Amino acid sequence: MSAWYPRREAFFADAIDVGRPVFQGDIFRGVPTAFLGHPAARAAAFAMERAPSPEAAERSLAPEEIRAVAIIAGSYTMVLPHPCDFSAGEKGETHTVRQVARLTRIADTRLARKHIEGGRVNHSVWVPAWDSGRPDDDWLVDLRTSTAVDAAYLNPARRVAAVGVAAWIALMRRLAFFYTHTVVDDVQLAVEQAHQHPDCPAR
Amino acid sequence: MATKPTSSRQEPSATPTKSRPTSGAAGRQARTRGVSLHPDEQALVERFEELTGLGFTEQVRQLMLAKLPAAVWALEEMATAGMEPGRRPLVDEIVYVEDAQERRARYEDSYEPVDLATEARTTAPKR
Repeated sequence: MSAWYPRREAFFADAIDVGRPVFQGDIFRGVPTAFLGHPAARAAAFAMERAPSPEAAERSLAPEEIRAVAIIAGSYTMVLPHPCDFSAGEKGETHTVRQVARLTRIADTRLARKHIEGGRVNHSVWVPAWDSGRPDDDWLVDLRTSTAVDAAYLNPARRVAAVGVAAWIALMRRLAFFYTHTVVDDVQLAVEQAHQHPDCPAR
Repeated sequence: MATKPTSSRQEPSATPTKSRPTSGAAGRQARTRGVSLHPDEQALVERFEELTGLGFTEQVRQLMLAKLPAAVWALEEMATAGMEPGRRPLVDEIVYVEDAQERRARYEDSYEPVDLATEARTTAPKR
């Protein structure tokens, strides 16, 4: 069996600057994600009770009631879509929606780092610590928290890391697996996609 | 690609059929390489040529070889990074059950504002 991900030391692009195009897998700080809670589910969670079923929680909710339980989260987020959806000079000039997902420190969850790195948690993408390099500081992208944000949030000056081509291919496989439960052939991804990566010498 | 694989597809021959410079092309280093095609594939190649005017060599150049420099680069990067392109990863999953504490934490804001202008004066960049 092959690994889902490249080794941590080969995960990120070597150098990033503000001139690098925003790309799938880029990690930004200070870009929020949102979770739209349900008042009944929130009340149950704070009472430490079982979450209500959709039928039990059924009611007509006004927008202000939903806003009252809208949760804003995230210290770091990852850009999720393929760059064809937002690249400069193409759709990115007019499309103002970007999709991101929140990063969470693995140490702040009940999950084991080896399970995240091993690709055994379906909703996760492993992200090694880009600053300290210490495994204890590793992150996961929680794909369940994907959120639409304005393109205006993605100031390249807020970008802290960008994935290298090997990690990009791993990310595309994880995204496909999360949404389809199908392992996409990484050789096919290399043939069809590698030329799009910002570091590709054949671009 | 126009030559989509069929269930009866045969692999290209690994053995070059000829190895000599193309006649009349001084300085060219081109070599020929044989390809084994199923009759259905052969028909596709010929139909593609009829529609586009591209001979088989040009089809290979434009549809396949054009992608290989980037693909080879990526596959080499993957191999160097410890991945094994073409091999299936482990898809065994652990059972993850959200507990009451996690559910409650989901309803608490955790966003951390960042002021780049202030930070630029006080904190060295991480990369």
